[in-house]
Amino acid sequence: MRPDQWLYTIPLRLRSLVRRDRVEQELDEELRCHLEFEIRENIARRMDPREARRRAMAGLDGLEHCKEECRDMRHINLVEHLIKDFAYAFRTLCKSPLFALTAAGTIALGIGASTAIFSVTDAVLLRPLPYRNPERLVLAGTFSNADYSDFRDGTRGVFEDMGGVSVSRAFVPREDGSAEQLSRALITTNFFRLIGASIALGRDFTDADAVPQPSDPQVLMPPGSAAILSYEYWQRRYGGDAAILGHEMVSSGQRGPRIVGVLAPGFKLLATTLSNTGADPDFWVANNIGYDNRHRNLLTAGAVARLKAGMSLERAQQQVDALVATLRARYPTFDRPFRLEPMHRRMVAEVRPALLALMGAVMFLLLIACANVANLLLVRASLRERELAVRAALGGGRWRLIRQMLVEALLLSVVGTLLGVLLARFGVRELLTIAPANVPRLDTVMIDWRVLLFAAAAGLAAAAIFGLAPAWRASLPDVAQILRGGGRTAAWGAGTLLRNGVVVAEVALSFVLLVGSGLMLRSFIELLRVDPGYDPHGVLTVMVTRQWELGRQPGRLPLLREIQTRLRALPGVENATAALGLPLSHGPSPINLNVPRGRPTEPTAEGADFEEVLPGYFETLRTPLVAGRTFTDDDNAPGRRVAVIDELLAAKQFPSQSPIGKRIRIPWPDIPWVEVIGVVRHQRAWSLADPGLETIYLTDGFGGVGVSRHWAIRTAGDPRTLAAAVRAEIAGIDKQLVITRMQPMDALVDRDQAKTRFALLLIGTFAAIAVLLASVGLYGVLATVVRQRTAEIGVRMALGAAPAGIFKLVVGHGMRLGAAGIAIGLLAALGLTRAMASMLVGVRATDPATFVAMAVLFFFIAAAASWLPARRAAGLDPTAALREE
Amino acid sequence: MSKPSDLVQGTLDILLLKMLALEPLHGWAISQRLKQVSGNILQVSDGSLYPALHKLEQAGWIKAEWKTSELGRRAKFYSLTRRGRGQLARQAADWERLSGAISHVMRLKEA
Repeated sequence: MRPDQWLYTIPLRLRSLVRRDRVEQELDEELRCHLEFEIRENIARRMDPREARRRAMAGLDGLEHCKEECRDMRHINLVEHLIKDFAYAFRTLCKSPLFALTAAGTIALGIGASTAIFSVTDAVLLRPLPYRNPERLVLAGTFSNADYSDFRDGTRGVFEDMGGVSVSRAFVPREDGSAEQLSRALITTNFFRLIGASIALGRDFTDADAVPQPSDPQVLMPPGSAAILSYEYWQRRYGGDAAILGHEMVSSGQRGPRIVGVLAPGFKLLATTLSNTGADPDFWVANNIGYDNRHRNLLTAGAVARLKAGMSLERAQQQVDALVATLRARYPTFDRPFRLEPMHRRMVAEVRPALLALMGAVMFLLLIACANVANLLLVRASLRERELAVRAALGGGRWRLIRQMLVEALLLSVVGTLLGVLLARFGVRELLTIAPANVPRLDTVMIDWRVLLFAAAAGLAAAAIFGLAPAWRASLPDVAQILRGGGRTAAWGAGTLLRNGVVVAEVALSFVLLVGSGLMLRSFIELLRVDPGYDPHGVLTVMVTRQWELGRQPGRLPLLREIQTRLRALPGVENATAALGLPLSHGPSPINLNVPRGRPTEPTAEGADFEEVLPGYFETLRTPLVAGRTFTDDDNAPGRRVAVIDELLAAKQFPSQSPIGKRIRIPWPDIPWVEVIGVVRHQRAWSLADPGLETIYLTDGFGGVGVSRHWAIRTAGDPRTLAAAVRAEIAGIDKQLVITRMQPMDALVDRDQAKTRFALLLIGTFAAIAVLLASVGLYGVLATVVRQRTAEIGVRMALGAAPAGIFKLVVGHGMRLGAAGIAIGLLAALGLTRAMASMLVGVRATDPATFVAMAVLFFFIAAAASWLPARRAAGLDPTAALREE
Repeated sequence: MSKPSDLVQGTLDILLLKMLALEPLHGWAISQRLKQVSGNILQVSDGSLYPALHKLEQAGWIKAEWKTSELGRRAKFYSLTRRGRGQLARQAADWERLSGAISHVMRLKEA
């Protein structure tokens, strides 16, 4: 129908609907008028009045029939019937509240779980980044200054613009002489325009603001540079005072960058790869990236680029590859490939597999919930078979019956979805408290209209899934047979087959989830059993940093020694040590310095992870010594060329010989080799789940500056009780020392395990619900079968079948269904668990032991679900059963 | 539904529109007129007449009004709308083309 026609016909339709009584009355009157005229005419033709009336009625093919057709023409019936169907469905559901609650509750579980997970998936994976045209933003890796300039000049054809950013710690003195540690971003002046950040107050950077980079990254920006504050820091430090614009950041006599603007609230630098402080920048300083060809391997800035409109990632990458080839030809030491990666994809790379796996798990759960409700409806339909048959016999059309069932399903789904959304609200809140810290944008997770739309769509889809099968089933009652046979014989037809199929599907789906949770459980156990190479219990970790003016850095060594001595003297402290990085507090840091390589036959520590530690490091962390000795205080000095290596490096570089006393080459300026004095157990430094790299340990004083800032303090008691004493002691040594990240090492372990624990907890919960639903489904089918076959069982018993045989019959039925489901589930799981591979620790996605164990477990569950109905069947009294006609 | 079996689908619509184009009529009068004009060739039962009228009204081609009939009784008179007139013109043209083509075929002589 053409749209302009709607203008005309819609009011008519509305009139038909809204003024139904009036329309009905008119129809009545119109036909009565016709009859009157026709009868009068017939009498005029000399019929007797009764015959005249009969003829007139016959002409209309029956008055009611004619009216019905007229109503059909007006499309009144469709809506009217629907309203009636809803009312009818509501009444029938109210009549069996237990059924209605079970069905709606089951749907609510499925919808609730999937909506909760979807809200996280949506916030993290689906919603675009809060930047301008974020789909065109790419990360290009980390650059040296020279790289940055060459890269920017060589890619003008593919990128609209390109900016550099690097985030590091900065120390800002307070009025009382102490210092506060801030997260500071150095950016190119175009950065905010490139990414699309808005300035709430003041102005954006201009090219005139840029100053050369400071040579020491810990030094505050020199006077004359310009800073833009984050809104949050502006509120926290300056109380949102607009008068701060134009003032310098530092207030205690020292001079610092001048504040020129404040960012809009909530702006975040979401790409964690660009930041090494793990925190959002408190202030941003304009930076001039100068061309420095001597330090091509000194990485200083991450690059964000905006693809030109219509430029594909592939074509951009080709251009970049060509550029890299030219640079490599020109500079021999240049050896970094530049991979362009969409900003969003890079940001979620770590959590994407887990979220997708969880999304898959809840979809399975929802399907299982649907299957269960479908089964409930099928059972209900089989109990109502007589009612439906009678309705069919009385002329209830097939379509009408289907609609009736669908409406019932829809009503259940609506109630279930509403309950599910409520459930999701609580679920999301719980989810956020246990979510691992590496999930970006968790703070934006909420139940908004997108999530509600998803819930509504899921609810509708669910209604279609669990409503169609029973509806189809109900539309085909074999009327004659049901009415004749007392409603029992037909139960062995398509209905039972369908129900069996649904249960098999349910078992298969939940088996896949069960295998998934089994794999997660094994991973978690592996993770708990991992020997990390240190004992994290009873250790307090704390980061102690200080701003050093240039030229005063040699003061670090005595300061570190004093801190160590005074911490060791604290009551309750067994030992104290520090390192450049403690296990679980940092990522990999292999040496990457621009030095010539050694001969390939020499033992070398090139490519190994590298750590600088104070004496007492291995003792404090209780890392076992395998051979030789550990560092003494005498070793902690420049010029002492000694090193401790871990057993992995020993095995790799000194196979079948003792490394003690041997030389090992290190990629270090001016110091080509060190002597190995000891071998220790390998430490899992980045993550308990990751074996990591072989490691070489040098002393803190090796380079002559003293670089340790992560402290570990071992105590016999609870490390938390030490916190106040440690804080006071350190503050007493030097007012300028900044104390951050104080936490027991157990908390680091906890954080490291959070990812696996989170996945285990969720997939485990979903699997448990799924298995419960599947066994309830199995139980339901068997119970129905027993009820429908009561008379047959009675006959068998009367003919001499033993109760044990009947028991076996029913359990056998259950086990066959279970076995079929498990077999299908096994195949599906083999294909699907691969998707979890990146979440697993120390176990393969196709781990046979897990598969077999879960199959056996599920078999027992199936047996348990069959047991009750089987016992009921075996316990039947034959005479009573036979009377069940 | 008891469709007039030998009535080409849609023909009833044209007949009704054409009839109402001449003058507004109530249902029974239309029924009588149909019998008069087409004799026994087009057998339209009253039972299919009324649904057809309601369909046309719902489509917006005819409109209804309660008026006193010539027999002194209030009856529902149908009349053609402006849109109905357009529809009639289109259908009539279609019909001319179709019937012209068919009679042309029928006049062909065997070779």
